[in-house]
Amino acid sequence: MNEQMHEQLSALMDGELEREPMRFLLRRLTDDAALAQRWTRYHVIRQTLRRQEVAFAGGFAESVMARLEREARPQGQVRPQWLRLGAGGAIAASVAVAALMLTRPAPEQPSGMPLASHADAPAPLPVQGAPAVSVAATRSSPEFRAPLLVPNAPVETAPVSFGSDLSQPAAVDPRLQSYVIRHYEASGATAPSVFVPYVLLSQPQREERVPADSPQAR
Amino acid sequence: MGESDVDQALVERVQKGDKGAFDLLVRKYQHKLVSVISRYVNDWSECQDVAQEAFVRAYRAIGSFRGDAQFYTWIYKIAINTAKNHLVSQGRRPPTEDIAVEDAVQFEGASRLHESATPERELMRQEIERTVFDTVERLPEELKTAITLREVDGLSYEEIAEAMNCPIGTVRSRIFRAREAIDEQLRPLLSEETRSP
Repeated sequence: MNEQMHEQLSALMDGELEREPMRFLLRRLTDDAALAQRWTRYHVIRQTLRRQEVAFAGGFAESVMARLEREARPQGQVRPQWLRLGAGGAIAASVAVAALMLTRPAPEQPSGMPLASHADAPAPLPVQGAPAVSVAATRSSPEFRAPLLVPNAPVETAPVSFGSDLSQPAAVDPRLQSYVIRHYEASGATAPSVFVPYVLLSQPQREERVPADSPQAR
Repeated sequence: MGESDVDQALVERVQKGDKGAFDLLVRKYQHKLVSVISRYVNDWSECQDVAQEAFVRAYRAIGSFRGDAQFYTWIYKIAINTAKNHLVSQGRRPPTEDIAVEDAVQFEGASRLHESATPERELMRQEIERTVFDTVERLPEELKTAITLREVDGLSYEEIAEAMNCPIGTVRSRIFRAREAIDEQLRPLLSEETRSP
């Protein structure tokens, strides 16, 4: 059996093996270190008989393979389609979110009112002529989605455009923000790093940063 | 089937993620690549480093190899570019003219490499050469003729069968037996070489 395989190896290096036995032998060669060594020696014999350079350095191939072990996979290697679609989808979603955040007009806020602290503020009076919608009715609505972040959590904000007044914090809808965070967390494991992290312009304030005399601390 | 078909089959396996197939390509082409690089880099150990780098670059780019050219032609170009880049990074000037791929393997730069190799390596090289040719001389005539027609004259099995007036299967067997006889003598030398740093 071995001798037959060695004879096939000899024919293989001469390009004189039929396709099917060649495929079988190549599979075997890549898994069989002794056979690979024989392949190396056969080539040393060839080089010598052809009076070509024998640059046989101990462990040359092993050194190359050790380096490759530390390298990433070959560029251009085809990635699975689902991964490409997933990454593409994540990028598209990120772009959409960024565009939404940058173009969405800030809701009118009373001057100096801290953002996302609507719960502390008095409930807005229903607009005359408009139907009064109670909170309970809103929650029972199928379109209502509870935000992941508590809406009245204090947030730090940053201006989102160059033209904005730096003294005025930009308004960020907590639901939108929670969506961004949720999306970032979901896409972080698979999608390549894009600019989603930079879209996170506001973050909930940490407890320890709340002044001791603030209403939230009490 | 030809030698280039074997290379292509190996490349396809590498492209599917089989690193072992690339190992076989390295084992096959290491001598030729070192020989080509020696045209640009004279020092033996430096030449080995550049050859390693060339193989690593080839591996990184192998996804883009589509088989339009032969694998050796492709990796030969990578080796040349790697050698030139190496010289530039060392502040040296690479030669302006490249050697043609078909002339590359016959290039006599090897003799310059011999000068920069350690005495032990040079001794080993001479020992390998002596072992191979001595063994071929002692082979039965039909084995000696078959292996010579194949390796020295580059004839195909069919051409050898015609020249020796025997079936192709017999040619295949004779060439294999010749290789085995040489390999038997060579194995102790090369396993020693493998252990050396």
